[in-house]
Amino acid sequence: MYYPPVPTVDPLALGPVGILSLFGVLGLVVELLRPKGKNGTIMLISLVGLAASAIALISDFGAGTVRSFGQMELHDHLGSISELILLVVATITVLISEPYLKEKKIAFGEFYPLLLWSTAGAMIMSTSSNLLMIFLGLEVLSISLYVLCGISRSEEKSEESAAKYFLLGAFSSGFLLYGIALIFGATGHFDLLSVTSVWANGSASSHNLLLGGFGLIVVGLCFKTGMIPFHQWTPDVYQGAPTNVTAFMSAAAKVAAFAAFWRLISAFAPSLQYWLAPLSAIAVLTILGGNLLALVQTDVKRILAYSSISHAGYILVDLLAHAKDPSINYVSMEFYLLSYALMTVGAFAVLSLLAARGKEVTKLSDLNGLWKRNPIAAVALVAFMMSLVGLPPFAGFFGKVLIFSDAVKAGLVPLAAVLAVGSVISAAYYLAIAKAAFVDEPNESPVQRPATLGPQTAFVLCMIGVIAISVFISPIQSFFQR
Amino acid sequence: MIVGKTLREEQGMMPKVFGQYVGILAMLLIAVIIGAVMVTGSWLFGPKKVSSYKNAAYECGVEPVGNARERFPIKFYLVGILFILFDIEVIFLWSWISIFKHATPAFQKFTFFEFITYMSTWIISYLYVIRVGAIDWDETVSLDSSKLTHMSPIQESELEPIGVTN
Amino acid sequence: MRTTYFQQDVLLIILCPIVGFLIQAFLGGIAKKKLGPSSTRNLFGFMAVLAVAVPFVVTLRVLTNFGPVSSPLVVPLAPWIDLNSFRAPFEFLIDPLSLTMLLVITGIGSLIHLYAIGYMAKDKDFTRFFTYMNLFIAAMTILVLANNLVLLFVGWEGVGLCSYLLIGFWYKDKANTIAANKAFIVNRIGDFGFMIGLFLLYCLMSSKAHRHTRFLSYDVLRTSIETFHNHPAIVTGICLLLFVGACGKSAQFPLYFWLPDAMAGPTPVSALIHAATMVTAGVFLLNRLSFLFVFSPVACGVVAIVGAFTALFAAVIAFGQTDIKKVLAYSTVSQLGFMFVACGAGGFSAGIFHVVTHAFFKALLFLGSGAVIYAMAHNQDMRNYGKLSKYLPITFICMLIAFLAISGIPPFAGFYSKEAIIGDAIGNQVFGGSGINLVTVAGYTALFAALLTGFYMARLTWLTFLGKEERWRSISTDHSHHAEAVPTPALEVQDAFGFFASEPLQLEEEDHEELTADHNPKEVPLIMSLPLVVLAIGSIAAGFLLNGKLVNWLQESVQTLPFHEVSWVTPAGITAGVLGILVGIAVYFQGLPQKEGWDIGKWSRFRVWAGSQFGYDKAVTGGACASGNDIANFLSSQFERWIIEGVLGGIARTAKRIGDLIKTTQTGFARLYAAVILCGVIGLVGWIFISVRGGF
Repeated sequence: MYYPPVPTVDPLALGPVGILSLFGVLGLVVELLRPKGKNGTIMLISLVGLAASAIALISDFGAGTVRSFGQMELHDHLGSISELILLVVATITVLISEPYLKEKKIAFGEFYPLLLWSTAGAMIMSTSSNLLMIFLGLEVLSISLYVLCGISRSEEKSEESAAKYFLLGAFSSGFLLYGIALIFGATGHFDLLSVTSVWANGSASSHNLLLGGFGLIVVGLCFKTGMIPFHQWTPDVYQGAPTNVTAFMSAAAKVAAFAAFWRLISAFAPSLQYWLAPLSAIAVLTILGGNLLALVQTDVKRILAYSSISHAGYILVDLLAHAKDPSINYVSMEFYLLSYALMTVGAFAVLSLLAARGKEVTKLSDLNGLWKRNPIAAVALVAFMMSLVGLPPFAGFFGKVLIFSDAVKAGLVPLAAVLAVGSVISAAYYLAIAKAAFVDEPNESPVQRPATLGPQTAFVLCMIGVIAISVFISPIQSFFQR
Repeated sequence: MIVGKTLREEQGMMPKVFGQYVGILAMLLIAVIIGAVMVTGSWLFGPKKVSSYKNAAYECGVEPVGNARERFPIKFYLVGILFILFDIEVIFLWSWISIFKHATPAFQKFTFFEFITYMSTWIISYLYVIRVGAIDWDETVSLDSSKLTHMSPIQESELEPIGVTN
Repeated sequence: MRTTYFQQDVLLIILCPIVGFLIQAFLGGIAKKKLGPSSTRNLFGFMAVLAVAVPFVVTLRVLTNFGPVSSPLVVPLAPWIDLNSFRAPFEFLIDPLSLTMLLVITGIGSLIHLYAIGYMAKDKDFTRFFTYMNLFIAAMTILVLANNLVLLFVGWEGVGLCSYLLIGFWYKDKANTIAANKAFIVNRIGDFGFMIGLFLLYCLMSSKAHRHTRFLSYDVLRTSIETFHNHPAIVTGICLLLFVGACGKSAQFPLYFWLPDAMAGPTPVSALIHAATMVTAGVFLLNRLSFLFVFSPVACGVVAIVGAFTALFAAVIAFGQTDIKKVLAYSTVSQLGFMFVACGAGGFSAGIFHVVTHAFFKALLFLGSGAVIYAMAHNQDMRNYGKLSKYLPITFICMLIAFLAISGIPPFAGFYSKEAIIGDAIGNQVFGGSGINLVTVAGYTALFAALLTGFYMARLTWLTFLGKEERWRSISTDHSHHAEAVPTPALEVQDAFGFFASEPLQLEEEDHEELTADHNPKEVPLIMSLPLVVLAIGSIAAGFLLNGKLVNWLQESVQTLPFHEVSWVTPAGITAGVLGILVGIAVYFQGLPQKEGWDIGKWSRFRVWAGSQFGYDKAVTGGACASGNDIANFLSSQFERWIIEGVLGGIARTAKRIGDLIKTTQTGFARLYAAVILCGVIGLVGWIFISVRGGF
């Protein structure tokens, strides 16, 4: 008779992820039955799945920190908030997808299950402090994304972006995995919890192992969040991937990766002195480089890609502030991620409207005259741009203010200054997008699909969200803090 | 969670660990040296009569035709990978089934549920793979027509890598 | 328990118009498609009236439950701005003042809504009209019910918005949109003053150690008398700034000139918003803050003088107008001036008394003029009227009552309130009685303005309803195009900057019915004459029923300053009114005098000058636009060139150049990206280990 340990099961903690995966499978089964070119059913299933997952999540929201499944699953507030943001992002993506996929003649109903699994992966990644689980979640997230990027099979650019993303993703996963191995070597555990004590009691050699592992894991996460110099895939992949996938990827991957990053940084806070300088350098490079590179782009998707890079830099500043002053909690970061997700996904939602006749239309000049063709979309786009710049009364403003004040509070004044400079630079290219949509006249009459209910709802929701979360900032903060 | 020293540290730190591997390193070194000596030796002392016949790929085989660096059909890899996937996944079951019989009922219940989950995923994936014709050599026969019709030949202009022009 | 009871009522009062607004806005268009225009009109018109009438009934119920002697009651509904140092919840105040205003708004509001069903019957945008109207009522109820200045400001801006929307209701005519913009922009100036005043009050109150964080709520403000007493200068500043806001909203002298143009809106709008309710918001504000104003004699003096000057100024301008609604507009400005004279004299409640009576007779005048305009194929020029009493008997009798009421003839409503105002002003004790008393001067000015009121109203009545000939019978085609005989000169100036640019002018033929010589005016339908009759009864009865009682009742919520009884005011007031009317009859008995005919060249200089508002409007509007243009030109030529192009452009170019430089690493080849990642890894891990070793 064997007595192997039976892990504790916490169905509530696993609920959201489980439901989402299950509905993904359900969608795939429907796809197997092949409803002739009609993906409506699958889309509906996905929406129901997302809603069910959200209900499961909210019913157990703020239940305190619970570890289950042999400590592999960590149910805590940071994770729950991240999951919530991920669900919002996925829902908006589903809403914008159907007309876009039709326009691009992408007949793959597999899109929706993949999207759900990708979300599930991201949720796994954000609800564990076990490095192996983080890696597993990251791979589920990424592999689904690789396929999603290449789902427009008739388009070379889409295929190319998938291949690039896959190659470089695999390359960086190698570093991540090696880092995990080193930490396992030092602590004998996969859990980040053991890091602190080992650091406190360990010898110099275990310190070396830990720091080496930390550095390599940071590389993996930096790759996912698109930090300079691990960023170069970002613009190419964002540009080549179908716009709805870009929308999802730009927000979901960051939300998940930053949740993991937060846990990593928290665990390694005692060794701050050794890595603060290089990580600060990455933050500075990311903020300045991202913004400067965005300036010289002419393609809106590439601009937004570089903008997402610079936003990752801003969030990294908050992580560093947290490492320096542990009293700074994740509220600012999650608020920033929520606002970032809403405005970026919203902007991509507007862009997805521009695709016509099976082609991507994403040049800056293609936006010209949007104001006349679809005023709501244009107004929404301007709202997102203003929010991305960080102008009040939009959410982006408060997000930046929170991070800025965190940085100052932690004594990282130079980083705060860089953040401010970056924001100023960013105004130039964000407002260029707004200008293109509102002021410039189109050269030839561009083709414009009339916005259908889905995307219209999506970006109107995003716009309302971007304003509402800044209006109700204090209830949201207390909700995050609960 | 391990509090205190790790296994490796308890055994007496790095130098000793290094000591364990000295033999292997020496072995590696010798192998490299021997290999290098032989290759260099034959290169230095061997006769060098070059003729086109001698330079051919197989001195006494079939005449080579075309370039060796040809593209394989991507299908080859797909079928190969699918085979490995479904083949290897069975191995995971082995370790489980070997202790399943003798384990506690609690463990059996828990892991049986896991097994069901695992297998249903496995089966659905398998059905999916067959359904979309991933293991058919010519997918145009089995892939849903709506997913094929729009596939157009690649435009020359699209062949530039992303990023070069920007 | 009492509070919960009132909570429901207050909620009902505010929610009814809001729900009405939502229904009109979101279902109106659908209903028109599904039901057809005629049933939509009946159904939605009925609902619009209901949305205002129900609050009226509820207000009556609140009134009976509240009783005549109860103290003010604060009804909290929900938290809103909730900071550690400052709170401004959704809370409402039930007291005599708010109840009085509510009754006026909902009572007269429902009458005007009823009238509007008839007036707007042919309009294509029927539901859009009632959307705005219901929204206006909602905003106005919030304004008067609010228990703190921040919430009041919400209503304040809300009514401003509705006013803007309704003035520009027929937006296809560019002149209307320009008028709407003008109203909105001029009100911005007032609101700016209001906001600064509010901020100043915030600073004053927040600097004190208060137990309350709700310190912009009236109940807290009223108990902070000591603070006001210690800072007379700041209080004066606050009062003056808030008065700037009141000037904007209530069309007082420096900022009055949007109101005449606002007559571009449909007549029910002029009656409801630009005569009876919204424009009295300024008077209401001063009443609400009467406990503040009594601390500042200087502010009171300024208020009284500005009011008196406006009363006189607008009355004189009214003589130069030929458009029946313009005359009424200037009369409104003038009457509002009277109300401010009362406030300045410290008799705040007399001002509210005049608000109430004025609401009756001015709404009646506007609705009556609307009936005339309706009957005369939308021609508004009084020179085309004459002897209309024959065709419009009901309208005539109602208008006659209103005319007597506004002129201050007893026992009509206007007499009592006007007498109270002039009595308060002449017998005031604001300054304690030494030196030249500005407020007394204001009182005498108001008395003279009362005389002019009788005069120009007699002119209006005789030109429209009486006289010897039916002048439109002799109309020829080129006359009818002179509808705007006195041009509004500022329009061209504004237009030059394209600021007000909107859709190109599109006059719809169906709206452009011509008044021709063979036109036979018809009395308005019952749905329109019914409100006229009710308002006429109000114009007769409101005065002697409320005289004294209202002022006493208001004491609970409005602070007043004491004044001497001046015995000769009543006879003097009657004399002024009668004299004005007699002069008017003497001049206009025959009909249209030669000196006021179609040929402006024959007009007297003074009248032409008065007609163009003594050049004030042109100077201010044109001057503001021109100087704005100059500033913009300067900025665009100098600032743009040196700062934007030179400095910022230089920075931008440098940034771009750096960006271009880095961009060269973005080759598009994955192998290079991988190499860069590898370099990054080496750099990062290397840096960490170097710092572990403490440097190289």
